[in-house]
Formats: sequence, structure tokens, C-alpha cells
Amino acid sequence: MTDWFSNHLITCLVLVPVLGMGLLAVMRDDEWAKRIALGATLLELGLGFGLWAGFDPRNPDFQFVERMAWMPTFNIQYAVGVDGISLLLVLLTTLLTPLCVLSTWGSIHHRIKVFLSLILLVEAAMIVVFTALDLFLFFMLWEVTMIPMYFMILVWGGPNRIAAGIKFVLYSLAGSLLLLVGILGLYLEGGRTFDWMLLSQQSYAAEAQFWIFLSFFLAFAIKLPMFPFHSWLPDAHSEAPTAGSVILAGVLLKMGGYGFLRFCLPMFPEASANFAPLILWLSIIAIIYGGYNALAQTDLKKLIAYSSISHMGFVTLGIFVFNSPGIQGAILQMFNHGITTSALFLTVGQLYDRTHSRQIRDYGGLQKTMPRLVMMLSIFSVASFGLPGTCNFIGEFLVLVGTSYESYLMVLLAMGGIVLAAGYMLWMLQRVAFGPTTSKMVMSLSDLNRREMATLVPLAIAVFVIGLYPSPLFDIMDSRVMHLVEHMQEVRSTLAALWP
Amino acid sequence: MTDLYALIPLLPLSAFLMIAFGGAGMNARAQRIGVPCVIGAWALSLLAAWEVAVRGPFSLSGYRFIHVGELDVALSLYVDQLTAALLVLVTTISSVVHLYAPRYMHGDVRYRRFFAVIALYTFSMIMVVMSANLLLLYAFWEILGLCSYLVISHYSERLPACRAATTTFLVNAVASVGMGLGVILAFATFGTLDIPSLLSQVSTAAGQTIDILGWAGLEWSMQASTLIAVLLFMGAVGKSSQFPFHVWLPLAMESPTPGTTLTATMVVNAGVYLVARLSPLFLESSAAMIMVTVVGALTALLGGCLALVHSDIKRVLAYSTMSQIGYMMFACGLGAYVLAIYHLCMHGVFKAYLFLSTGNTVSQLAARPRVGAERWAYAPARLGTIPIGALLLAMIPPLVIFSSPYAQLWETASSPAAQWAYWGIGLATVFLTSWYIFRGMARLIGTWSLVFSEHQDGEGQSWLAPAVLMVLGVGGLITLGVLIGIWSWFQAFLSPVFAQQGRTRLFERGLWDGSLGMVVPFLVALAGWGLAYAVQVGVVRFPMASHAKQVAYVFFLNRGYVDDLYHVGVVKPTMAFARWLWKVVDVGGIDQAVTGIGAISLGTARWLWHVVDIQGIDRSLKRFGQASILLARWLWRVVDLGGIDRTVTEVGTKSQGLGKWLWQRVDTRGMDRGLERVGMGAQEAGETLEELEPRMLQHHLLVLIFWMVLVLAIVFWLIF
Repeated sequence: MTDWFSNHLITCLVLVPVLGMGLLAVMRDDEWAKRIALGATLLELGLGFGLWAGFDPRNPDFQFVERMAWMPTFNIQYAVGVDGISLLLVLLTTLLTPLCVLSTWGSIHHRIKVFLSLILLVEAAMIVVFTALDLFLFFMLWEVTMIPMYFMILVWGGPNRIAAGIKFVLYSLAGSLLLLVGILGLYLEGGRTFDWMLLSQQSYAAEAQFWIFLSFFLAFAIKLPMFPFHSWLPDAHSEAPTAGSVILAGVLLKMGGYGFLRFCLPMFPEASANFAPLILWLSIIAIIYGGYNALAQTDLKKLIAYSSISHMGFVTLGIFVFNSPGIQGAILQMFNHGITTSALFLTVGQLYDRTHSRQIRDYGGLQKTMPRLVMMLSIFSVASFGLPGTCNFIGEFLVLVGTSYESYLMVLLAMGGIVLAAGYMLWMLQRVAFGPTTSKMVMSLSDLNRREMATLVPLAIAVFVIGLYPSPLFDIMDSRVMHLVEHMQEVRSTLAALWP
Repeated sequence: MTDLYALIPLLPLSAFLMIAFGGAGMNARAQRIGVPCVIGAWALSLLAAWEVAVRGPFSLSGYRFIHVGELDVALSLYVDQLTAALLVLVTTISSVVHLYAPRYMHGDVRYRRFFAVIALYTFSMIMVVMSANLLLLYAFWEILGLCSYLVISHYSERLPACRAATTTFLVNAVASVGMGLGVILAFATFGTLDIPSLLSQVSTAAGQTIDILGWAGLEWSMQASTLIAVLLFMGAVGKSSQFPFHVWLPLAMESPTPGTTLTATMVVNAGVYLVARLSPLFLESSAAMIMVTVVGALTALLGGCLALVHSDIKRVLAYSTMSQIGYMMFACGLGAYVLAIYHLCMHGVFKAYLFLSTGNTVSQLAARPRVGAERWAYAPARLGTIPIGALLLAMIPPLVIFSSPYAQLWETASSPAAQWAYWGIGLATVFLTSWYIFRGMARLIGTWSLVFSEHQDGEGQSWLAPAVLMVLGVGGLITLGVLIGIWSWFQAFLSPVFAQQGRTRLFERGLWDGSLGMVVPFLVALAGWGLAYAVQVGVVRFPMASHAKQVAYVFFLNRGYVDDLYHVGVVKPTMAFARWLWKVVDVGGIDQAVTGIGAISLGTARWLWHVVDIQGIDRSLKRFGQASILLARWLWRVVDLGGIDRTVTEVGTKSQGLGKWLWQRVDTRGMDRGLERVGMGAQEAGETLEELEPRMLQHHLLVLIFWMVLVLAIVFWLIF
């Protein structure tokens, strides 16, 4: 039994939320529905840690691999497995979802069962996306993640939800279409298979690499989002309900970065190397551009959304310098961004639950009435701009070290982005949390209760634990990233020999 | 055994953790945790200093922090004489502040927060001086910035305090960009961030250059060590409040006095420490040394001038600190590290003393405004503590400049002009320090005696201030003797750190070498004191033109307009750019472009529907339909009725004729009957065809008939 269990751990991870949805469907009572959803996601978290415990970090190959024929006619199979990179993202997903469920208790007041089901659905889909070894499976579940998000925005969102939802879906669909084109191209070029293992072992002609890379790149760039494709994000983030924003910022954006690491780098190394200068500069623009935009915001959630764009710039920056500090930093940055930005959204969401205002000018002097919230907001703001001792510092520093192999100018500009981050975060804190308490609304607010603290404290602990002792996370991904980096460097040296 | 010294940072850290997470029980008892922990750290620091003096430097290693690729950062600590000196200073100041704070902060709403923050402050500062790794140093450098933020925003319901805190952090953050880049460049150049091994490699990396305009396709190579030193110095400039990042230190006066004391006497030393710690790197590059010298000199003079015109005593002390730290930087730039550190230690202690006694007095004055004469009875005793500190402070610069090493220091500058400039700057700073300190004292005492005099019928004002100044002057001479006594011991202790760097000759001499030039600084200091005295008693009025004096006064009173310059030149444009970028580029540009694509798609769809679908295809279809109908009609009328029908009729008639003819000619019984039948059949077919509705059969019929005609024609032709 245990043997079967350990061999099918990933399937269990997928099934637990699905079964939870089934239970939710037959539940009448909303209170029990909440408990069941929380129980399912906590069980999922336990399974996630089980996956970590059973994972052998020295082995760079996929582990816990499961294969099952699905549509044999087209060589489509149900194939899942984890390596260091996917394990981190699976852990992130399982860590954030219980907190999302907890946050709904205060923020969602109608059709809560449906909402909880959607959260569970996204979780299951995300797990498959991060573990899929079959491209068709990957694509299907990539699509599935979009639908619950769309409904979350559309049904439970803010006042401008319709436009935001439609923008989100159209952008995502455009990305998916490109992804589908890329996957079909790969299918045809790679000998009519969707198997990642087989596809990644082949080498593709330069022409094919160029086009397939381009379609994959655009799909992931929209999802991440990279600089010129980002305009869906501020709207979607700010209009989505708290849990939606958390899933969106915490996990969904990571699919883009994951895609780069899983598909673009190993399969199209030449095209990646050729596109790298463009992507690096786009990342630098994103870092600074996002920072300036965040500085101009008057809306708390939009501020966080623009800061996300800036932070995700570090991810692409780190990935496309193709060296070990850069890529490990980028992966860590994805993980850390998942923690800090989700925490910021949760904190702001708790404020929004009380006041139904996201405008910074409506606040001021919150410290007087909500010291706990201000403490949490301060911790996560400080973590967000990468103060040493918090998790983001490690990721950003490593990305900067990685970038220094490429260009010192880029390092300087990216550091400018960090100063901007400090600027907008501290200025936001000053306007929201400190200063004299003027408005009556602020005076009447009650501080965070136990449940709300329970959603934030785990993240605060994670912020400091990772910031002070990041080695366990490096251990998980080290061998895999080394593998990838060696591969890339071989290709780059051949490229350099071709075009000196 | 040396592991014991890990407790030096760990004690304040545990104090911080216990106070911060100790729950509400800590609210009024935070000092019971904080004070013993910090005093324990102080005792251990003394022990560490003794250990270093006896057995030499040692290091402690912790866990491995980051290990990625070539980057290997361990949490390691290093204690040598320099670190030990700083440790003793830091823990001394912190202990005094911890002892002082419970009384000062008594009844404060955020009593616990304050103690937590100053414990963290102490911890980070200890870590900055103990770190054996540049990244670790940088990390705690940043955390120091956060602590400054927290201390300054202590009275967070006051908006100026929040603004000051934010400004402080951001100014430091900008400076840290340089430092961070320096750390990364150091790693790229030396391949390690471990400070001892990095410093040992400095000379080997002398030839390395970095092309800083490579990205633009140009070539402008710079010595790697110069670039790294300059960038790291930028961090030091920020943390030590040097020009042009000096704006934050006066703002830091928003914090409660114990916090101010920590900021202004403990944290600002970090910059000087950094320059001294990395002295081999700086000595490698003359450009970096000159930069340190110039920045230090500028700050020393600017701070002196600013201190001279301001009247808020805390601000005067802040500018004075800035000036003194600038003086230390100046000394570092000239290679006089031991002197700089000596100055740093003495200044730290005396300035802390001065800050605390000022805070004491100010709070006394503020808390008991004009209640009655008896309340003021003990005020002189309190007030008396300030002049002592002032006195000590005023004596340090002359002391430092007094030392004979300086006589040789000037020789490090190549040109005589530079030597004279250094002399001039040094002496000017001494003069200014002496002047503003005594002026400040006179003012403070004058204010006090003004209050005092309201109850004493105008007595006291005339004699008190000059009298105190006279006492100070005399006391100064005595202090000087004491300080000189400590110096030789201090120099012997610290010189091993800088001894390996090839410039030992600068530090080997004692203070008194009998050179006459050394008397000059002391005379200058006396002149400053004399001027302050003379102005106070009214003997001297400034001879210079009142206009020039006013201009200078207003200029320095407005802090040289540097703050305004930053506000107008940096903050406002940044915000304007941010708003423009968001409103115009992001919402107006990119978002509109995407929405535009949507609008274009929608437009295309409409156009397709209206123009192509309704007007084009639909109409074409209609036309096609009409044409088809016309064609069908034509087919029916012309081809069918006119052509086929007639043909069929003709065929029928001909067949009839043929039948008759066959009947007449081939008159055999079988043939006759058979042929007659064929003829009849053909006739019937013809008639049937004639009757059929041609429109229903369309061209199939046409084809059929055509083939029948053809077959018949062939038969006809074959037979005849």
C-alpha cells in the first residue's frame, strides 16, 4: 500500500483537490464546506511535504514518474514526474492554497461553495501543469487554470470586473493559442510525440527552433507577464477577489517562468541564446518600468500588481543569463515572489474586507487601530523590496550576481529597480500605516483576528526562514539547474565558435 | 574558547527576539531583557579586545549561507584589533543608551518596540564590524538602514518623523546601490567575498580592468580595484552621512534621544570602519584615496559651517557629527587609519555623552516649563553635564591633527598646492569645530539663563555663559593631556592591523615629536574658542560686510539648498516621471494599444459583417441567385424550347419519316414489324419528350437527348 502510494504520489496530489470538489458538491452547509476545503488543501500540503521528503536532491532526473496511455492514437499519455524545479513550484502551490481558502472566510459572502471548488480546481490543474511530462497534458491543464480564474474575477470581483475578466481571458487565450501552435510544431518536428523526455533529447533545426521558440516565448511572456504584454495584470489583479489575486500572483504567473525553464532552454538552446539579449533588455525595462508605475499608483492592489511586473523582470533576467546563480536566483525569486506578493495581497485583502476601499488616500495612521496588520504589512513590504534577511534578497542578489557575468550596466539598472521598490513600498507604508489618524473610518477599524493572523504568520515565517537559511531550497534544485546550465553552456560555446 | 565570542552578536539578537516576540508581558519590562544582554556583550567585547591584544586575530565560522556555483558565502565572523576597538565602542555606547533609555522612554506607548529596535540596531552594528564576508557586511549594512528607519519613525503618528524615516532609508538605499554593485564587482574580480582572502588578493588583481562603457560599444577601462573601492565608498558615504548623502542625519533627529544617539554616534561610524577595514583595497588605488579625502574634507567643512548657523541643539550636534566623520574620512583618505579610528572611538563616546545629556536637559526644560524658581534649582547641575562633553569633543580634532604623523601625511600629496590645501582644510575644520561647539554652548547656557533670569530679575545672563566658557577652555587643556596618554597605548594596539600595508612609517611615531608645526592646530582651536568667547561677551563684532555675512548665513541656514535641490531635482521629477509613465505610457499607450487591437478586431468583425457579409457576400449571393434564375430562364426559353425542343420534335418527325420509309422499303414481315415497332417507339419517345416539362430535367435531359441523337445519327450513317 505504501509502495503504491509513494509511486503514485503525484496522482494523489492531483486527486485530493478533485475529491474535495466532489465532497463540496454534495455539501449543503457552507461552514462545513469551508472546513472540507481547508482540510483538503492541508492534506495536499502534507502530501507536498511528503513529495519533498521522498525527493532525492542529488538525482537530476525526474522522480515519482508515472506513465499511462491516454490517447494512444496520437501518442498522448498521462505522464507526470517532478524534478527540482517543479518540486519547488508544487510546494509553493500547496503552501499558498490553504491560505487562499482561509482568506475566503472573510472576503467571499455568496456562493462560497462554488468559489472553494474553483480554488481546488485551480490547485489540481496547477499541480498537473508543474509536473506534466506530456505536452498535450500540459497544454490542457494550462487552459484549465484559466477558466476558474475567469469566473473568480467575473463573479466575485471588484466593480470593474467584467472588463478585467475579459481582458484576462483574451490575453490568456492569445497566449494559449500560441502555445498550442508551438506544441503542435514541436509535435511535428519531434517525430509525432508529445513526450517531453523524447522531445527534449532531440536537437532541432535552427529555422524550426526560431519559430517554435517564438510561439512558446510569447505564450510564456504573456503569462509571466513580460514588459509589453503585461497590461492584463494590473486590472486582473486589482479586480480579482483576494484569493484570486493570491493564486494569480502567487502561482499562475510562475507558469510562465516554469515554461521558460522547462521548454525554451532545454529544447531550443540556440534560439534561446539568440533571443537572450532582447529578453534581458525587456527584463530590465520591466524591472524599472514596473517600479515607476508602482510609484505612481493610488490603488493598493494595483501598486502590488505593478511591483509584480518588476519582480518578474528579475525572473526572466535570471533565466536568460544561463548561469547557475542566475537561474537558481530566478527560481528562488519565483518562489519568494509567490510568498511575499501573496502575503501582500492577503494583507491588503483583509483591509479591503473591512473598508471596501483600495485607495491609498482613504487610509493613514492605521498603526493606531490595527497594529498587527501594520506589522504584517511592514514585514512583507520590506521583504518585497529585498531587504537582507528576507527571502527576496537571496533571489535578487543571486540574479544580480548571475547578470554580472553578462553586463554590469544591467546590474546597475536592476539595482535601480530595487531602490524604486524601496521607494514605493516605504511611501505606501508611510501613507497607509503611519502619520496622523484622520479619517473616522480608520478610527473604527478592528485589528486582525486569529484566523487572519493564521493566514499571514506562516508566510511571515517563510519569509525569514528562507531569508536566513536558504540552503534547503538550493539543495532541491541545484543538481537539476547544474544539468541545465551545462547543457546551455555547451550550446553557447558552439554558437560562439560558429559566430565569433 | 573563542566560540564564546559568538555571544557578542547573539546576546543583543536574543534580546531583540525575546522583546519582540515576548508578548504583552514585555511591555513595561523590556529593559530587564535588553540591558543585561547588551552589558553582557560589552563585557565580552572587552574580553575579546584583550584576547586579540594578547593572542592576535581570530575568526568564528557559522553555517553556510549561500552556495551556488562559485559563490560561497558562509556566516563567518572575524575579530582583529580594528573589530575589537569598534566592538568595544559599539557595545559601550549601546550599553549606555540601554541604561539611559528606560528613564527617557518611560510611559511611552511603544516602549517595547523601542527596546526591540535598539537591540536589533546593536546586533546589526556588531555584525557589520564582525562580518568576515563582504556580502554579510552588506546585508547587515542594509538592516542597519532598516533599524534607522524604525528608530526614526518611532513617533510614527507625526508626519515629519515618517517622512524623515522614509527619506533616510531611501538616501541610504541609493548609496547602497553603489555598495551592492561594488560587492558584485568584487566577487567578479576576486572570485571570493571573504574579506581576509579578498584583501590578500588585492595586489595580485592590480592589473585587472573593467570596461565600464563596453555596453555602449566604447572602451573606457578602469582599474578594477579603483572601481570597486569607489563603489564601496559610495555605501560608506551614505551610511556615514557624507556629502552628498548627508541630508538624512539631521532628519534622524526626529527619533527619541536614545535612538538618535545610537544613529549619530554608533551607526555613522560604519562608513569609516568600512574604509579602514578595506584599507588595502583603497591603498591600491590613488584615485579612490583622493576621492575619500575630498569627500571627507568637503563634509568636514560643510558640516562645520552648517553647525555654526543652526540653533536647534540636536541639529547642531548632528551637523557636528557629520563634520567630524568627514574629518575621519579625510584622515583615512590620507592614510592615517589609526588616527581616524582613534578619533572615531573618542568622538563616539563623547558625542554619545553629549547627545544624552542634551536630551536630558531638553526634556527637563520641556517637561517643566516655567513652573517656579525652585524647579530650576537643580537645572544647572543637569546643564553642567553638557559643557563637559562639548569640551571633550572640541579637543579631539586638534589632538588628532596635533600628531606628528600628520606632518608626514601632507607629504603623501604630490604637489605643494595639495599639501597646503590639506593643511588649510584640516585647520579650518579644527577652527570651525571649536567655534561652533563653544558658540552652541554659549547659546544653550544663554537660553537657560534667560529662563532663569525671569525669576531672578535679569541677573545671571551676563556672567554665566562666559564663565562656563572660561572653565571649558581650561578643562580642555587637562583633557588633552589625558587623551594623549591614551593615544600611545591605542596606537600600539591598533597598528598591527594596518602594519602589513606598507605604510607603517606613517603610524610608528608618537604624538610628541617636537615639531613646531604641531602647535599650530592647537592655536587654531584656541582661536576658535576665543572667537566664540569674544562674540559672546560682545568684544568682537564681525568686521565683514553685513551683506556677505547674511548671504552666507542664509545659505547655510537653508542647508546649502542641498535638500531643496534633491527635492526639486530628484524627488519631484521621479514622481512626475512615474505618473507620466503610468498615465501616458502604460494606460494611455500599451493598454490602449492592446485595447486598440481589440477595437480593431471588433471593427474588422463589424466591417466583415456589414460590408463583406451583408453588402458583399449577401448581395453577391442575391445577384448570383438572380443570375441563376436568368440563366435558368434562358436555358428554358432558348436552349430548351428553342433548341432542344425543336430538335426533339425534328428528331421525332424524322423518325416518323424513317419509319414510314422503312415500312415502305423494307417490306419484310419481321423487319417490317420490328422496324415498325422501333419507329413507333421512337415516335412515342419523341412525343413523350415533347410533353415532358423541360425545366425539371434540365441539362441531364439535354445530355441524354444529345447522346440519343448522336447514336441515332451514327446508326443512320452506318446503314446508309
